Amino acid sequence: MATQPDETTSEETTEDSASPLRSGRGDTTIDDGVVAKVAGIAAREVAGVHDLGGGAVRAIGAMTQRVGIGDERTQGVTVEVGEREAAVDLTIVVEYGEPIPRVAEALRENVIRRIEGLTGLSVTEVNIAVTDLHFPGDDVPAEPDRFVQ
Amino acid sequence: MDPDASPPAAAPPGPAATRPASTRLRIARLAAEAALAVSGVVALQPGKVGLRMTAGAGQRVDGVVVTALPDGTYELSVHLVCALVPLPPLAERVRTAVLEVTAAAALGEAVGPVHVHVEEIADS
Repeated sequence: MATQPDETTSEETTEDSASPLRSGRGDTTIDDGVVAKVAGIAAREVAGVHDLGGGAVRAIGAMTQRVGIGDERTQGVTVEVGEREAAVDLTIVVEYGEPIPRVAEALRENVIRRIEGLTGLSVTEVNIAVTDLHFPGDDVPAEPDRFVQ
Repeated sequence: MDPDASPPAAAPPGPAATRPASTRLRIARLAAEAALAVSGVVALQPGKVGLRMTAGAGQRVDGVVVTALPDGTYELSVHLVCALVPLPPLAERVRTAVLEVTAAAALGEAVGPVHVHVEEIADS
């Protein structure tokens, strides 16, 4: 899906002035994993987003989380973090019936707001790939025997 | 024969607890305490292999690296696990706390730059 960088964000960054992560008495760094986690949490807050990650990632993720080595909050999230800017790629599954452009727009807004608010980095782009739709009945486990008689 | 004899060439060191802590270790300990006292800091993080720490006098401070600089001061790197709060102000509070605590212990002029690294967000 084609995306445009959010225009409201670029106005706030004052070029070549002090980054919030620099100070006279030492630097501050924020790990990429932290930015990815913030993006993942922000993405899950948006109505219409069912899950993050593509089919294979979610299948493997379900398994690794069960044995406690996976972190679902960074699943489906890729970030590139520079000194004062970040770019985010998200892979999402949308609830069937939700208008995808509107979900994508809300998602983009929320991710940008959270990352800028919590990490002080300015977000240059949020690329969103919708890989699947989720139908409300999909999660109900099939138990055919009980209903035969 | 002493079962825990030190390497043969080295002079046998005194018991760990009685050896005086070096300036490096004192700075590391003060910085760790100061950082953990800041609200929003959940833990110090020594890294996946545990190398981000300062050791000496039989003790170890995880998550704080104190490096001696050529000019006689020490550079600090503090590695944090934080709560989900705005991170740049939190890092600034940690830096200020570390500088204040070390200054109060008369180590202020020995402390150079204090780098703050947010390594992880705590699960909540």
